[in-house]
Amino acid sequence: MKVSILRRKTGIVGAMCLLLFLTPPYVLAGSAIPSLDKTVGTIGESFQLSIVIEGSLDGDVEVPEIPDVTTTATGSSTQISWINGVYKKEVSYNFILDPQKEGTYTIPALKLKIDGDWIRTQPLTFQVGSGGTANQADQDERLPSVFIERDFSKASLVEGEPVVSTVKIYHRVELAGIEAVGEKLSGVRVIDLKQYKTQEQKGPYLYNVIVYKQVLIPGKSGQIHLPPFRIKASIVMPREERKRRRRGIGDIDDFFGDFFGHAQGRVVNRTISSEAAILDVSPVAENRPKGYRGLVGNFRLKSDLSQTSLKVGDTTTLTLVLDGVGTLDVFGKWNLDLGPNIKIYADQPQNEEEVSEKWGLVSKRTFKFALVPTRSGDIVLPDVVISYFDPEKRQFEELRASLGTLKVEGGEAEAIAGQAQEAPSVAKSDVRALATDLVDMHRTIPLEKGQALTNGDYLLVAGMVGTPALLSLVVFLFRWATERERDMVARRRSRAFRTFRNKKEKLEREGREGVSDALAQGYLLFREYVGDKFNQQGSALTLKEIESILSNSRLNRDITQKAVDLLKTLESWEYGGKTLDQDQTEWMGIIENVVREIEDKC
Amino acid sequence: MLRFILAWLVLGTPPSLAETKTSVLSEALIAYDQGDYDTSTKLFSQLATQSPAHGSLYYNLGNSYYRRGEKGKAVAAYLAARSLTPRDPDIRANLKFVHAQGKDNLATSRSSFFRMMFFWLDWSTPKELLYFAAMGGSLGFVLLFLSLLLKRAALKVWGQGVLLGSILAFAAFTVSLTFEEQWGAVIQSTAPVFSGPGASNTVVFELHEGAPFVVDLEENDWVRIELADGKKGWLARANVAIFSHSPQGGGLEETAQLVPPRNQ
Repeated sequence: MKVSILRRKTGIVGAMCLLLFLTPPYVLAGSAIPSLDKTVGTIGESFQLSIVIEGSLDGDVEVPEIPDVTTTATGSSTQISWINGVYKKEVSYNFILDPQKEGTYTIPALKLKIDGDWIRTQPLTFQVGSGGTANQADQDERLPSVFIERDFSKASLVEGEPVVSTVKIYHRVELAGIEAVGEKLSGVRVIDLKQYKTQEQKGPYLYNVIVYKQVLIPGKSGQIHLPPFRIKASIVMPREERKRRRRGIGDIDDFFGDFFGHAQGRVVNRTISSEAAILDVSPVAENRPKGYRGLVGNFRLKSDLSQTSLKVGDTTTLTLVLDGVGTLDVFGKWNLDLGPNIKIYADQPQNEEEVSEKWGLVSKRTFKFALVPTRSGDIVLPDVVISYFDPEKRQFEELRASLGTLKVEGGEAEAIAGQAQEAPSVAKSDVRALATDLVDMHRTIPLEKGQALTNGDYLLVAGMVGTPALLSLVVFLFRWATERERDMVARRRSRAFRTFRNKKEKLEREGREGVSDALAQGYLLFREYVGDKFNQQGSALTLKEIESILSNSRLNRDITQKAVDLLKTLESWEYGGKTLDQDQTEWMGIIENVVREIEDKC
Repeated sequence: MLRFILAWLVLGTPPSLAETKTSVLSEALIAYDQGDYDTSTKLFSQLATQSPAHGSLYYNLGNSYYRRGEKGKAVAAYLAARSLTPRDPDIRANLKFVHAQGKDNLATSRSSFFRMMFFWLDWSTPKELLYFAAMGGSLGFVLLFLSLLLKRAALKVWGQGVLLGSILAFAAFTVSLTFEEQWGAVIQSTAPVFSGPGASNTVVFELHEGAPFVVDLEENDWVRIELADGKKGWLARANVAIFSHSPQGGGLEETAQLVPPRNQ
């Protein structure tokens, strides 16, 4: 009985084992297991959430928004194993959670589609305490690797009073590509100061610190809400941390990491923020004295005159130096009035600003005025008075500078001093030569007329050059055509005799059948010669026309007459049937002689 | 349409664009005189972007930047102004004044045998040379035209001579256009210059605020630069100010962002 029961049990277990062995891997259902590296922490600590997915995930893992918790995805890692012929792939999706407040937080269940099935993960809960109950050593141990602290040189201030904001970015891991994600502050002037790096010991850790200072000058009263100072940065995760987080596959990865030289760690992008802050800004007291120009702080005023004895029309330089703690932005242009006997020409003021840890902003503005007396005698200059509001004493203070008396002698320029329009001490050329300040602004600018090259310029230039070029071309072509015509006439004229002689010789060489025919040809040659010589087309000229041409030429009367007589005789012979008294060969000689005589004379 | 006409009749003619710009210029100058350099910078920037490029606008913008304490941007603005009006003594004086306050003792123009030979490259703009050539060409052709018309040999000789000069001026314009340089300046207190376009490259040297350079190539967020002494490297765009001045208007190509030096 016992043996049969044992056999039956063994058979069932064996069958189950066989079934399990024969079941292919894809039959195994997928899974999603979330885990936190810790469930209790304090503000400033980060929690690492890992969601390990087994199976084929459809889509991506997204953690729903948790109020007061900043969630940053830090990427995923894959673990592949092949144990006893079973292939297993796990993908771990990693997130860093930064709680902003103390309390209990719940990471809601995630709905994920794995291997075609919807799977819900278990919700996770973690607690964030203030850390007050923990001892200092524990708190220090839990200091994050990167955090930002911000403080101000004073918490309450007066409208227009500068305050220094110091932002310290603490990091004990390597940071790269830091970028401030600043929200523009309205109603606050912000002066960025130089950044510097230092190191500070915080608890057991030595932090590298980037110190970034700004001077904030509120332009209005009330509560100014400053948003958290945020930076985006790439954090190089330390190798140890990475190894700890990626359990099991560290050795192989380290081997390849070392081999390929990227063993320092993995880079994750994070946004790090400081806490938000509020500045209480009080308004300046209402009982503002006359001449108050919005200065808030603690200032002093110094004056200096380059010379107190001068001639009418000469220049003395008044230097007023206003300096102290606070901004001079609101002061603007100083329109000095020293009475009707002094012409004043203001130079461009020189500004200097320094930032001090103790005072915030220390400003200095130097005003220079060229004073030109327009009359002789002693001119008593009035005191220069300005006011400012002292935020420490909570009252207005007056600054007074005594300028003294100018002793002015009469000079050549006295008569015309009143017409002086420009102060020599502030001429641009002087400023350029002295090189102690910027040359003043350009005040007249033709805004619609640019100085860069445009397509319009090219068109204008084409027009400028093209128009006379085209005109020149037209005239040139006309002149060329005329010249060519003239050349052709001259060439025909110069070749007239040669043509005649060549044709006559050819006529003789060919040996016409009858002498009569040769003379007829000779007659036509003579007419053609006259046409060529005197620029007449063709040989069909009437006798009258030939006579007119010859009479108007430079030939003398005898030759003209001889030629006309010859033509009349030959015409009578050719067309009138008149007989010739001489041998026709001799007539050919006569034609040639007449042609030669014409040629000699023309 | 009827509403538009009625509105036009009631309200009168809207101010023209030119009037608006002149008004902005006046506002900018007043703000500068009153020490409100934020406003003057903003307005001059706006004018430089919206108006045809003019050296005086960049000059005024440079003055505003300097008063605000942004020396790098001031140098860049003066360099842009100089490229438009190279012989303006005010621009040269202020550029020299602000540049002298920088840490890097770098020249604001390149010196070489080529530049010595073509000295006029630094003293004239391509536009000036083009118009000079055009005026020469125009005069030369007019003289040739008259010589043909009046049949005067002397006019022909003069015309040919002037035309030859015009051709030389046009060649100078072509050279000037080819070798025109775009200058910029560093705006951060310290800016690392890398061997390639990326922070992973080697830092070859460092520049400081106001250091002038010639823009060689721009690639995404990086600018390949060349200094007056011939050194080359890559700067992150966020560390530099380069003013482009297209005919229709220009302005600052990039605004500065907080980018601390590397190796922290």
